[in-house]
Amino acid sequence: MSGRSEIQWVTERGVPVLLETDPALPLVDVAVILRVGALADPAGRDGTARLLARLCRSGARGQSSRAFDDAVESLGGTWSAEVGHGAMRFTGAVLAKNLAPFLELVLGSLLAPGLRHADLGEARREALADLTARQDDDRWLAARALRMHLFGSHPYARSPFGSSRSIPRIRLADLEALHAAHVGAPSILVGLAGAVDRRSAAPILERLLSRVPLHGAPVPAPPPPTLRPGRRVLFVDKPARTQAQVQIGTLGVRLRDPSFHPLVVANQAFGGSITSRLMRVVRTERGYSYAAGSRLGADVEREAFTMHAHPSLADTPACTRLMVELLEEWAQRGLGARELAQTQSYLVKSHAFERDTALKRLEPRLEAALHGLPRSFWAGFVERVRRISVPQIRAALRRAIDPSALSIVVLGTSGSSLERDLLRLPGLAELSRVEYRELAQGRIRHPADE
Amino acid sequence: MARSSLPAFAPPLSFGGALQLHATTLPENGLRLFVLPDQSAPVVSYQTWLKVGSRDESPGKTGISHLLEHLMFLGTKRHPLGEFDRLIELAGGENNASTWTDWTQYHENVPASELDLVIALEVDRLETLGVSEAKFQSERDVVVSERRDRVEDDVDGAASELLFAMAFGRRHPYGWPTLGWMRDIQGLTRADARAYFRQHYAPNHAAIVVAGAVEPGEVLRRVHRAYRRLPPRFRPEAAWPSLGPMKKEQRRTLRFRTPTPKVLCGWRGPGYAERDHAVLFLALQILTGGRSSRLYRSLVRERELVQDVRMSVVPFEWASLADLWLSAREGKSTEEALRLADRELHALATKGPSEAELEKVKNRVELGFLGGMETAAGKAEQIGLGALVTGDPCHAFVRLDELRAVSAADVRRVVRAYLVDPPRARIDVQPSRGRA
Repeated sequence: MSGRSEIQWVTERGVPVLLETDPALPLVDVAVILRVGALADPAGRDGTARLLARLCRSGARGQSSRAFDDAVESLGGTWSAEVGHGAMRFTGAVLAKNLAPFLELVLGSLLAPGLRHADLGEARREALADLTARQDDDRWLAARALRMHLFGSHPYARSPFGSSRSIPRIRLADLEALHAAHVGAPSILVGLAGAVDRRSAAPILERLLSRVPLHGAPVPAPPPPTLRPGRRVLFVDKPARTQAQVQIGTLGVRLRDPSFHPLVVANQAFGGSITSRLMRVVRTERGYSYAAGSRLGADVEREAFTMHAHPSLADTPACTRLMVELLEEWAQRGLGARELAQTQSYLVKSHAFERDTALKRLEPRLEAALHGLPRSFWAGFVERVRRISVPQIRAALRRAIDPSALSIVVLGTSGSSLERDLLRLPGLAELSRVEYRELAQGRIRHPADE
Repeated sequence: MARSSLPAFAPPLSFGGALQLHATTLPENGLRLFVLPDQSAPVVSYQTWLKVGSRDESPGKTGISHLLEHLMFLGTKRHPLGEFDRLIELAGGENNASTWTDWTQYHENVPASELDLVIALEVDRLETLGVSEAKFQSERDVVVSERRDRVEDDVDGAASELLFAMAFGRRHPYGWPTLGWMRDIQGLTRADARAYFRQHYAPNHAAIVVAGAVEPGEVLRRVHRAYRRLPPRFRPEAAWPSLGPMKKEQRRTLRFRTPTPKVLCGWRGPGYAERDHAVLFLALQILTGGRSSRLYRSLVRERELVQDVRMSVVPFEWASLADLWLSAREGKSTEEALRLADRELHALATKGPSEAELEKVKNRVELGFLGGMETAAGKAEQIGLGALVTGDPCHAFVRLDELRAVSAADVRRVVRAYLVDPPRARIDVQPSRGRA
């Protein structure tokens, strides 16, 4: 483990740089995060941030996207972009010997992108084709439907991918405006991990970031989402399925909420691993579904708490009912002392695997910096987990997770008794349906909007 | 049991220069042990590689290797259902398994202090595995669910399964899916699983790989103490079944609920240990590896005919299969895309890559290789795969050297020999509007 170090500094223009030095292998992981994402998409133009990210990895002014791709890959580099609601994450890796020219390429393209009409046209067509291709991905479709159904008109319902209606409306001026308003020193974070140290990296970054704008307007925080009462089923009809995708969601928690860490522990026990309740009951005991799990989302506002499984069509009503019952029991009773001790032991001891590569050590530091959280938010994770008690978990669950207000998405094939059987779910307030191809249009009929 | 003497390690092998790999075989039962001390993190990856996979099955009983892999987690006389996973998680570890044509692999990644626990659990399930009829049936349902997820409702999986059957034949061990045909899975019995376990799950068909913060001598003492009592079992050596040449292109149409047409082509290729496999792998990188690759640039970026183009070659022991997947954009033709792809294959076979192009893909491959070696689990995986499929636990570095040495002439020769001259299997996926 010799030669490892963890450093952070701020460039002269005010860009924070987080560095994890580890000389074990001659490669460097590079991450650049911009604090702007799909929440900044102009009204009716969902997908703008994603198209901007696409063009920000298509070469700087004066360089074609073809030349950019060639140059990056000739250096033994990879570079991709991912857009969430609050941030764009550009990530890649490169052979250590080629770090300097690689940073020159990718930061040049990010800070002064070509933003050419031709590239936008290509990116728009690519984005539309991507939406079409995703019609093959049932799990993605169900997840998309769940977000729209759960969040309704709230910005968290938006898809960073945009829709078949919004993408054609996006103009070059939208991208230019988004870049000009939000890409500046206050919105940028740079992370490096691997065979690189400050002495070699700092001069390169100082030079490349020397002209970064000093402004960079923060994207306004979204309003708090509201939870509609009752259990509502959205049936997504897709022909010729042999199984259903069941996704159940309710509101989760804010990242800064004191309940966050207790809920992380609670979720781990409920649906976070092979021994969790969902896997144990839904898969091992009943044999309903190969996979079953849950996820606790958290952001500046309450994100989604979701659970999923993929039972056969015949088993879907029983499996869905079982998942809801398990959720009720968990939300109301929390964890037992033995279950908590088991989960704490796992989270504490497995932390070694959260730190066994330089990139894994860097990522939580970047996430903490992105959200303006103290470094101890993740660095002190193990200690926080150790201190969590059964009553804390019960209180956190009662405060945050409401099993009486659920969005239940079932993607399957209609025509059998499936929809009729779903109507028998306890506490059901509503059952609506949508044809799967309508999801690509970015809108589903939503009773609250009528 | 009488005391038996501790075997010695052979002189260590260099594992990429910086690390040393220690290897030995237990004299009592033929179990092979590979230990790679690596102090870069306080963790250990413990992997059990068994030389049994779907190629060892017989028609009508396909999927038994994979189903047995599932059953191995369902409890023993000492540890009831769920206990294996619970103990590993209590120790801060994670575990899983995978099955393919030539091998089955089980792994546990745990803090280094938990090595004894893993050894005890692994030996226990080899000795006293016990699955009730009810649990067997429930787990068979889980595998049926896995198959629905990966094949019945997945266009890539459905096409890929058909391609292997066409390229090798439905009665060839590489021609049936490792998941098994649905009808076969549903017909498998607990007696089938028990017989298969007895035949194949023996120490002389296995290799243990331990990578991480360990001391080799200590690992050897513990493994020897725990495993030496397991008896070897002998089985007929698996032999490569004769496979007649593919005389002409084989073509099938697959109707599937998918938004756009797709085409999948497959060519038989060399076994994983052969140098030509490495050359072929590099050639496929030139064609579809990254945004600047030939086919991505031509078909996705410039012509906008397809949304997705991929090529890969499987790392099988006896023979491989190289495939090409083209997923058309809405309103575009796979015929045109395939025609252009064929043109590019011919160009590569005739003119070869430029030096710059070759250098670019070598850099890309090197980056991928380094990325795969970052963790203890990644290193152990390379050792296990090399040991079982090529006979050389350090094969990853042999292959890296082979990849670095590939010339333009090599690429021309291999593309012609495997992708241009021989006929291929071809599947046209047509969007179905019906319900089947």
